[in-house]
Amino acid sequence: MSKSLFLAFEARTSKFSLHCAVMFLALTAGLTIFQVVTRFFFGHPSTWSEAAARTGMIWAVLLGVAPTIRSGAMIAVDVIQNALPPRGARLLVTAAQVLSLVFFAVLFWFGVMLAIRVSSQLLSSMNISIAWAYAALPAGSFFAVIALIAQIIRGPQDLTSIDLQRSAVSEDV
Amino acid sequence: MNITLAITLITLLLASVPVAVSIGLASIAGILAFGNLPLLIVPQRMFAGLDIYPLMAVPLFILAGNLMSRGGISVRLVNLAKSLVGGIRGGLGAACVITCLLFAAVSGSSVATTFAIGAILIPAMVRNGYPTPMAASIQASSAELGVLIPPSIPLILFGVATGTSVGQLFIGGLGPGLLIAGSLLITVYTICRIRGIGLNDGAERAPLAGTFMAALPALMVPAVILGGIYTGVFTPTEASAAAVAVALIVGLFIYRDLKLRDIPDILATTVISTASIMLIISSASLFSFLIARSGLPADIANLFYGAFESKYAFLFAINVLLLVVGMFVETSAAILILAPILTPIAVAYGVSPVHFGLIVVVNLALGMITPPLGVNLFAACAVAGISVEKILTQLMWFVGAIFVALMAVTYVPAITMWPVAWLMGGP
Repeated sequence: MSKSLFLAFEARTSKFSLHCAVMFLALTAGLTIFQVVTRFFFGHPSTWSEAAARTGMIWAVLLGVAPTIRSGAMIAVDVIQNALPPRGARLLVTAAQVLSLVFFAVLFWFGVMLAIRVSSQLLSSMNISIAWAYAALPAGSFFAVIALIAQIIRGPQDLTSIDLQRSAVSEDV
Repeated sequence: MNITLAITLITLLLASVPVAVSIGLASIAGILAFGNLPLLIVPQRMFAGLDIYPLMAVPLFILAGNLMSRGGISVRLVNLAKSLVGGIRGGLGAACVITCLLFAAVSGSSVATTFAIGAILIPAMVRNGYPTPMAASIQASSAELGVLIPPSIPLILFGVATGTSVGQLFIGGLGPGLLIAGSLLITVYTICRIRGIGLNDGAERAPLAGTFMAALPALMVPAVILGGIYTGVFTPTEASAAAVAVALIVGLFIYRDLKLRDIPDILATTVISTASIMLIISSASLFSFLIARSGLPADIANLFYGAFESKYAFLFAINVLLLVVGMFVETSAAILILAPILTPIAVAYGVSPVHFGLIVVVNLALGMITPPLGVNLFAACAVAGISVEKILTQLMWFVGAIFVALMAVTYVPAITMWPVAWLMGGP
């Protein structure tokens, strides 16, 4: 596969990941509001909606990782990187991306193993397998791996523009 | 195992590997090097670290904050604050502090506060003769209030990591938040007096009645959040859901600055902010699990008990430790890893966990406006369009003011605990 084809592919997968994450976030917010309403107006919170909202949040977070990588919004310490000459900084950034790739590959592999192992358990108060919740880890990692490969192929972007995007979207809490 | 963990973690962080990935890789290295644990523990603990009900308040408060700032709230709060304090000497600088105080009550983050308020007030201050470095310093330090006045993401994380009531932590944040706001106001006023700036700040001021009525719907959100938590009607997670609902209603139907077609974009911004924090939370929970298993917390506890006789000596050591940590480490990671270790020690010295939570957050928040990793500083300088080095001399005064407040918060527990006792009858 040529480079540009892969990059086009990654643009699609990261966008898909973001869209799904947005839907899960909306679902989580909606379910939590629904739960407050049921507790106030019907006296008891519905039990299934809490588990569903939590699972939705986990999916939103993990599917959000690939678009976060793509937009350069992963929070990192860049003191050394900024102190290095441009060539050194580029090398460091690429090394960091390769290490991130290793991490998400590990998370993908063992995430699949874990999801298989827990597949016989049921999600609390819902009649579906808990593997559907755990699957968020390998699914998110899968899209993260694709986003990272694209970052490495794309090579060093203008570092200052990455910094600006990072400060624009990341949240320090 | 601990040395391996620490060295790997520091090396990875310095190599500009993202914080979440550094913590995860260091944990994996620890597991591999001293392998009596299967690697399956990695996804298992990372999942468990996210599967916590109170944590759902984090994305929902970020979402509510984004909806509010897009929905026209920031402008109205700025106008209200100008009407309130615009008439005094240095009124625009004071308005910046007051707006951040109000905005902090809808936002749980200080960077979000910096962008929302700084974009309006930094240019206004510069236009009225404030030196740019001073305008940026006022903004960067006022935004600290974002993490102290409830809702606060760092306080939620402290509560989750240590099993402390998030509701009580939120109320405990009020006293320190108001104290810091007060000390910043005094600093702004004094500097304006000495340097003769801020004489015509009343020029852009509108009558209070009009701006108050305009801001009233925006003030509904903090009213719902704070009122709900104080009266015990809402848990913090329920309050975050209610905040999203009220923010939507105010933005869509009352101010009408928010359009339905903006919402997917707001959700996408929220997803990115959420993922970058929550992935850190997830891998920090794996890391904490390994540290707890290694017996390090007990060793550290014994070290503290041996070295510090009195509660005050212990608290001073904590102040120094967290100041250094706050300068170099990302706030949520620092809280999730250190709080479970340090809080039991603090309790053994007779410090209430709620009071200790506020000490930790105020202390680490100071790190957000000090280099090298001062996220607020970067945000304010990005908005003001100047480099970080240029504002450092101005910033010192504000860092000093917050430091004095930190000392008061640390050694006078009543500042934190009195509202908690009064409102909740808590400890």
